[in-house]
Amino acid sequence: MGILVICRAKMSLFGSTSGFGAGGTSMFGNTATDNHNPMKDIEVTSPPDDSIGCLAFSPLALPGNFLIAGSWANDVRCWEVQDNGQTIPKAQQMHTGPVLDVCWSDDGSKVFTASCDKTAKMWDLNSNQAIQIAQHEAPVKTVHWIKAPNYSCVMTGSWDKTLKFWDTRSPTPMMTLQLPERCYCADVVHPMAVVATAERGLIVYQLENQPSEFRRIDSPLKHQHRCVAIFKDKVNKPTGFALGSIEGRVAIHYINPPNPAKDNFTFKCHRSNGTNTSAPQDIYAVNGIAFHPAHGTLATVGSDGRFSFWDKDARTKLKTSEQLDQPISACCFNHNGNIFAYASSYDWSKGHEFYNPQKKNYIFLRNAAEELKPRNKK
Amino acid sequence: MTICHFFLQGRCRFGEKCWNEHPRGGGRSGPAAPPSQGTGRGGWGAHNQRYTNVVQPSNFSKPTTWGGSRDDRKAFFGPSIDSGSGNKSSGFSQNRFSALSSEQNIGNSYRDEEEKLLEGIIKDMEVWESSGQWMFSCYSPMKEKPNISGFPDFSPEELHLEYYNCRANNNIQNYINSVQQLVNQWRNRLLELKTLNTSTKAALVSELKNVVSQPLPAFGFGGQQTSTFGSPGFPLSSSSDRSASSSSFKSNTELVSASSGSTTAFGSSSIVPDPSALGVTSSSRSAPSIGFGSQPASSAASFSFKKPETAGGFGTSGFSGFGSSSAVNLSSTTSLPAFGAVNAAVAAPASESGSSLFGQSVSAFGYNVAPAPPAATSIVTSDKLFTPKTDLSPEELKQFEAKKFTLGKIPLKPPPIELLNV
Repeated sequence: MGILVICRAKMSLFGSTSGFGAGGTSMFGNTATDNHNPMKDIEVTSPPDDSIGCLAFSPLALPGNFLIAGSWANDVRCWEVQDNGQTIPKAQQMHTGPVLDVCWSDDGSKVFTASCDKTAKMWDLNSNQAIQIAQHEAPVKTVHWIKAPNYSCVMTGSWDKTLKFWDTRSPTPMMTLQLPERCYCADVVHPMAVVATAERGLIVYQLENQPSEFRRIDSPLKHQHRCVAIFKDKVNKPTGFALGSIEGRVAIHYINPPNPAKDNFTFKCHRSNGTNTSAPQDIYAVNGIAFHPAHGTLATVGSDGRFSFWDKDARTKLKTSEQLDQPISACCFNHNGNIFAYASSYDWSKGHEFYNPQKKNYIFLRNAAEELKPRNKK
Repeated sequence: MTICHFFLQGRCRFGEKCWNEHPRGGGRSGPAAPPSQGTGRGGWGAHNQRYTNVVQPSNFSKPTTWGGSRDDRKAFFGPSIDSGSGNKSSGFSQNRFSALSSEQNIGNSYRDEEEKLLEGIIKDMEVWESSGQWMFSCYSPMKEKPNISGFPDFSPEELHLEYYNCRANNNIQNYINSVQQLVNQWRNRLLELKTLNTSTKAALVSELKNVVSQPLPAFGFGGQQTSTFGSPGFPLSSSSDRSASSSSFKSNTELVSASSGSTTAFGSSSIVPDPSALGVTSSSRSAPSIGFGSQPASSAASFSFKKPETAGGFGTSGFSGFGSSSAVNLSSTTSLPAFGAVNAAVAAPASESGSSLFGQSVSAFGYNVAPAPPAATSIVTSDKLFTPKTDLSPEELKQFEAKKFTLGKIPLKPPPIELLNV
């Protein structure tokens, strides 16, 4: 309960040198009320020592399940997740700055990592060697592998307001696209890519033949963009995306809907006081969105320390978790959607005062086969 | 009088005889979104992708937060809410994006719309203040509206990184001060918007209205000028998206034009005469392996370039293998426009010095706060916003007086008021 209870004393945030200092959660170090895993999910062994910024599961091409996590301790770790739930640390690589994004190549042999040290690296898991494959002028916020019929490349989005595409064998990018502002989040599902930037910028790219800007979209959200995830239609083609903001809200946006007014919508999430009307709500940021690969339902994780599952077609919520004692900073599904992984660590949503280096960070694994089944449409 | 929520849904069976208030122009044509509750604590709602609707105040059954006069106005177009409950997450209620009968609004006076927009902004500010949500976020009252000046966007990761850098340099106090400054600026701006006095209101209204007429060369990333944009393959395909697409950048242009004359002194590098200097996508000339497969230049035409003259820098495909791309170096920071330059210049040394990010952003923020120095004197404490000439070092003065900023030499202080052409 620690950190989030203190959050209610809003006036003490950000500027008061109150007694809370950096030890917000340590005030409630009492293990009897330890709420670090209220959902009783599987804890990944040897979690990173600092906030986890990104998670990625291995693709279908790789037998078994391997989880990659990038953290603010500058490391990227790899675990094997066995069917019985056991997690075995396998390997680790380092950057010289916090790792902001990770992704796998389609064949599962390489892992790409993006870091605040302005580079992106390619980690060959077989040889356990990592080489730099990208360079930016500012921290690299997103990295994605693009596999098109006639080309493959790595796409990196950075705070230097560019989107670059890299052939991993060359130090110069194959292509650079200007962004209107710093890249905050992106997603790729061939042949579509979405990039959301600072100042509510939102751009869709098409990746056939070569990447090019497809459309700039007016943001459906009023506040800062935080996370984005592309979803597919019934025939497995990307058809739209979900965009989350810092204001506890997710927008579902179709690229070419038959009826935009009806088909596109937003919904509120990660807010407190759901039914209590008189008190002002606490509104938390949506830190991550992930779509279930089979069901098409989605999961959102927030600064409130909860995750929720939603059915966007039935427009209903499927489940909300109990509240963890820390924000949930990242999430992802494995390739078949049986495992939902989420990371419990501080996301800086309340500033440095609530940063506690001693607080342990966790990654939890949950069986997601049943809970994300779509609700039958009325 | 409470608002009749059946009327808002278009199904009040008492009609004129109803004891509750039927706001003029309320949702007669019925709810825009089916009230699917499901297990919903989620507060779902539909929004019009291209709505001309006014923003709905998210909760109008909290009369205490509004002045009495506001209640009397039949201005609440909000979607229905269980009267008196003000339940923020029920059904499709509070979602201010709900596409309530758009036909209604056509009949409304423009002034009314403006009023509603301002009310919506006030409401949003109140919520923002009380909700504990992330402070350093941009804000726009409604889709297709520009971001309101005075709220620069910083992600938690940027602050997080800044803290780590400062910590590495034993300079945490610098971070704390910078953040404190940002917080104060946020709070001030929020207060301004919450308690709209006449001058703030005027500035705000002009900002919101000023979505079309942008100063021409203003901003590299700015809305309408795709020529300076030089962005790749920006097809401008569907007309609806045209306006939609440019609007998201009005915000940036807003920021610049909002800082009025400062563009000339400050952002001169944004007035890039040579579009190719934006260096958009020209990748390197030393054509390395062509991952994208062999594309004859003609195929690039399929990317529906609408502004071929922009392609100067861009080449036909802006693509490494061809060498037809301009001689400009893509990602080099020298080609980034003003604001970009600020951030790039800052971001580059960020890891070394650690404090420059905030130093820059704070002064940049200072620009946003004062849309037009003459008009907005009530907002500005002028001694913070402009540096008197005497306070500037000769080098800084030279930079301000120069046509363009030299990257790496951009002064951290705001410019002197004398140099601004308002």
